[in-house]
Amino acid sequence: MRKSNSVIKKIHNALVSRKISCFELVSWYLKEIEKSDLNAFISVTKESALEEAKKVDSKLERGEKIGLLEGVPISLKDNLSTKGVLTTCASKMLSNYVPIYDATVCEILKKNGTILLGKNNMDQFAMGSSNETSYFGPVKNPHNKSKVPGGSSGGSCASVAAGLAAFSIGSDTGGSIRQPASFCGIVGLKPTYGAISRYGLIPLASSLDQIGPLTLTVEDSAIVFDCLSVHDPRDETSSRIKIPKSFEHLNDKLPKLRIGVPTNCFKGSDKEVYDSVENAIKFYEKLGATVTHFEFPELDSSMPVYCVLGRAETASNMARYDGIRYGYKYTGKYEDVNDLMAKTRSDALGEEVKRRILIGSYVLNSGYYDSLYKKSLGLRKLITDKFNKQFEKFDVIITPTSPFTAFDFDYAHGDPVKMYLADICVVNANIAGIPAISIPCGYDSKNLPIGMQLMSKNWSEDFLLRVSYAYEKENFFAKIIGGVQFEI
Amino acid sequence: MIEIDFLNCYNCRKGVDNLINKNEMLKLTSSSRLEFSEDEIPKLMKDMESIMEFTEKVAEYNYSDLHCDCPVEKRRIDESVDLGEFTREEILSGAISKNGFFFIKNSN
Repeated sequence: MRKSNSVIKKIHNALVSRKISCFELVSWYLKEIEKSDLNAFISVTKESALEEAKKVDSKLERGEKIGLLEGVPISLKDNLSTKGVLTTCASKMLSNYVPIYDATVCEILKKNGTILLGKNNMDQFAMGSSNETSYFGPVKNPHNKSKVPGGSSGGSCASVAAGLAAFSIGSDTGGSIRQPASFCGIVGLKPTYGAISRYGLIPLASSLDQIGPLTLTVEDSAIVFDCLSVHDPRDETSSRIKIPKSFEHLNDKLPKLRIGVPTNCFKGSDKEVYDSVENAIKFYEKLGATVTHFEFPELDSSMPVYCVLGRAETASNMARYDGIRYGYKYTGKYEDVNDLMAKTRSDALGEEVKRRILIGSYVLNSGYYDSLYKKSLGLRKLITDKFNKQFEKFDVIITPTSPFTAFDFDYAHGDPVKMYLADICVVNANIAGIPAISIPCGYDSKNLPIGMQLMSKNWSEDFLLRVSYAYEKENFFAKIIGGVQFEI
Repeated sequence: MIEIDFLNCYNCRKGVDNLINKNEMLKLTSSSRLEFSEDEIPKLMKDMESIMEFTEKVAEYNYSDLHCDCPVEKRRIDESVDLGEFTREEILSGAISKNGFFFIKNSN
């Protein structure tokens, strides 16, 4: 049987066989986090992590069984509400905010015995593609510290790739799990919209946001997804259907795959990215897949549609940050409550956040509502219908996750549109609500990871993970740079 | 609990017709409860113009099969019903419609 590369399984086996105690393991992770200069964490929960580790050790000493996730040290993106733990969204606005409740995903992970090491750095309020908009400073890519890790879940991805957490949980509104996963050489899954509860996720764009796992391997992604994909009555958009389990079916035989490759998604890709993804597609051909390259013109409108809808919802969601009920409050002179709110927001929100609020306000104003916002709603429906039609012909659609590998800091030189175009391959899945995963498929000549994106129809995460695992078993590219090392 | 934050957006946006000068920009910033210094305005306007140039591509799309048959949206536009007057059930029924207004529930 092929050796498993699952970090979760390795940790579980090491704890159960008492090769290492949970306290020693967690201490090791905490030491590596302290040593690290990646700036991947905003807060570290050292005392509670060690307390939880002791409880796991006591259980093992009593001869009790532990679950697969019990004792596994993890991190969480800092837009997930964690009771009693600072949750900042990497913004001055929430720099002093401590939630009084856990997000559903945090509750589930706690119940399954994972150990929280800390909250990861991210782009401010999840707005960005490089983790440079954080109030707490940028995050570095573990593969090359002069490069960005991607965003907005940059800190989460960097921490997994650098061995600072066994896995992390991020959020994806327009590629914020998949793009940084690609840049950091790990696996990032954005599930079907509604598969994982958004209760407690500080929202960016409510009809596009989705939570997902960031892991070193597809196996680990399946384990975490199975754990988190349950109905939550507290989230009205949480699916009521029973989502098929993925992990136990990873090794099931695949049918003869029908793969679709939209050629317009490769336009503008670096040659090395193009070659890597095409080689990965050839692997599936060797397994007997039929591959069809086709034009998907509706995808060209995805980015502007995403900009309109995303910004409109963002502007609405950001209206709650007014300095009155919670968060930062302007401490200088102000004339009245409106002036206080304006000064608070102007002082505490970053440049990109303010730009998106303004765009959102603009597209919703009475003069432009029909031509921009309403039109975008219709276009989203069109893109969704077209995807559904394509999934009658194809089992999986494959594209690069990003047209290029990790770029330098200040790559966009202050040009916001240039940064938005970094997400050109990934926003489609958010618009259509379909599941999408990024898996490593190689390195470029500068040793920077390249990611391949696979998409499938709604509620088929078990199938998508199975197809991804088939590739990963024979082509394992992920690696841990420094940090807590496992034999991979 | 129904998420109505992003539904409320229609009721609170007023003012600015188009961004062609500093006064309109200031009106937009004011309605968004933001303020900028004089120094910040030129770069902000430049950024906004380039983003809007990109975003306005949406207005150019002319797909003949664009339609919306969501019952909530129909009433809102045809009968000028304010969104706040809909019942929770009406909004949810519109929200779970497969046909375009709010893509909240996937068909399953």
